[in-house]
Amino acid sequence: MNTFLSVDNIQMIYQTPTEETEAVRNVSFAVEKGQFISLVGPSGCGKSTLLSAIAGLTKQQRGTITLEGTDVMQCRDKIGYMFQTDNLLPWRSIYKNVVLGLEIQKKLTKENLEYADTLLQRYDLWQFRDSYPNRLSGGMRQRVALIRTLALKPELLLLDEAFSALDYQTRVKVSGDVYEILRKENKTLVMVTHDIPEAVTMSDRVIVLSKRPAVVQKTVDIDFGGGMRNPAAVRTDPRFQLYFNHIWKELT
Amino acid sequence: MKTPLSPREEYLSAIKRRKTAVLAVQLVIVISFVALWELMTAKGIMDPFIFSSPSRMLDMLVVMAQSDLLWHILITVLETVTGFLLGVVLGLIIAIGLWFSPFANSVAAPFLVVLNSLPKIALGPVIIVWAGAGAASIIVMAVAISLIVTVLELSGGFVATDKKLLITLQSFGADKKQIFTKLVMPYNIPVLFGSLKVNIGLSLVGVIAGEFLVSKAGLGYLIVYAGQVFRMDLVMMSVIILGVIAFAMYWAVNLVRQIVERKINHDT
Repeated sequence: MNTFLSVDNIQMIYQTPTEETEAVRNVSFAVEKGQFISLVGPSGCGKSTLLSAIAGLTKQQRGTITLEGTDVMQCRDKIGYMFQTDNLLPWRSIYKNVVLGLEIQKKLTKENLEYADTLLQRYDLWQFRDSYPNRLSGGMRQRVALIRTLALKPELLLLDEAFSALDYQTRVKVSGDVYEILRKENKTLVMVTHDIPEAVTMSDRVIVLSKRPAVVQKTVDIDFGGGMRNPAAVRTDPRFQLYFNHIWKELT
Repeated sequence: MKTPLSPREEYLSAIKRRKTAVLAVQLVIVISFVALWELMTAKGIMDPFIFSSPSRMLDMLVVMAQSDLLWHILITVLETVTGFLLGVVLGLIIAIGLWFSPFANSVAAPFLVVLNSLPKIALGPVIIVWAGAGAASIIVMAVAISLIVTVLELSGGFVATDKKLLITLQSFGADKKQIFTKLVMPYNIPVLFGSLKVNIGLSLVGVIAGEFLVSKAGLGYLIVYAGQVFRMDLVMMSVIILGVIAFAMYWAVNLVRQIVERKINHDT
């Protein structure tokens, strides 16, 4: 298979008036189309910084990040980003939140609006389209945030600790929903998480980063057999514990 | 037999009861204050010549209403509303400019702080020389008093817009204008209206101070005139009318806020 996303020899340095901090050092990896990749590592190791560079929101000091051979800065409209919190605008209805990205990118075409409607219907939020975010539960709001991102039809999805603000039960349920939605929509996923079970159950590959400055410490391929999986159900698979232990050992 | 209320009806009824209770207590406070004032001046505990009294003020209101009171009220209201609107519009424009240019914001910051601390009334003689001894000076005084506060409050609110929401819009590729219209301005509607409420008082201070200095009409003029000839009934009556004007403006600002919020929920 061809490489879809290529992260090549990235170095990222933060400058402040008092000091200079190297957040990421010589990180390289490649992602194929349709693959789900997780980045795990100790708190503050530079995972989110790396993700923000992949999104084209921050510029790295050295190295290249390309999507199908083009610099990510030139193809930001192909990348969707989901944050730790849903970041819905409280004064906008659910529907108006979903089409926010389309409005900004001036893509309010009939076809795109129909697709946004389809997503709302497909993922059980149609009846809430005229409600405001404060009427929805945390899990539902996060689903709205995902639909808002998907409405832009991105080819690459970046999830930055997207479920960590949810309670455990909701988190397992929503991560399962998101996995299913992204597989069905045939998206490529790179997610940052500090939750090893989440990384193992949702990914095809887990990249373990070291403490700051982040370097790739280990890459673990995840295989539960078959294509589509149920992230909640694979937690009882004997291989889950093996993968968990392997990654845990790398992190400690 | 009376049907028991549903939990929803009980909840709504409790809200209504509370509102009624608050209004009743407010009315009791006003009536008690007026009654006590009247009683103390009638019994000679307070000198009505110095403190006036509600009945004397009412008599004065009747007399003045037949004379030129409405004209004085109209002058003050016009000057206040003009000063208020100019202060808000100019303040908003400057604050927007400072948000679009963080460099200009850094340059302006110490000047704004100094201008805010300066007692604007000290500029009175200068304003009179520049704008002439008339309504223009009074309006400039009202603007001078409210403008810097508006700029400081609004630009502070703009800068404090939730960073997470800002990054979300940036992740969609929003430019600065889109970030402002779709996020920063709607996010800061409460700040804007909070500032408008403060500005009602500040504009009235500016207008009355201006009328003290130069005017030949208006409630400030009436107060100065009445004070000089020891007509405390007229002074107190004018002060109470000022309170009514402030309340009416506060109510109008609240109404505009409701309309704007409804519009934002539909259009942004």
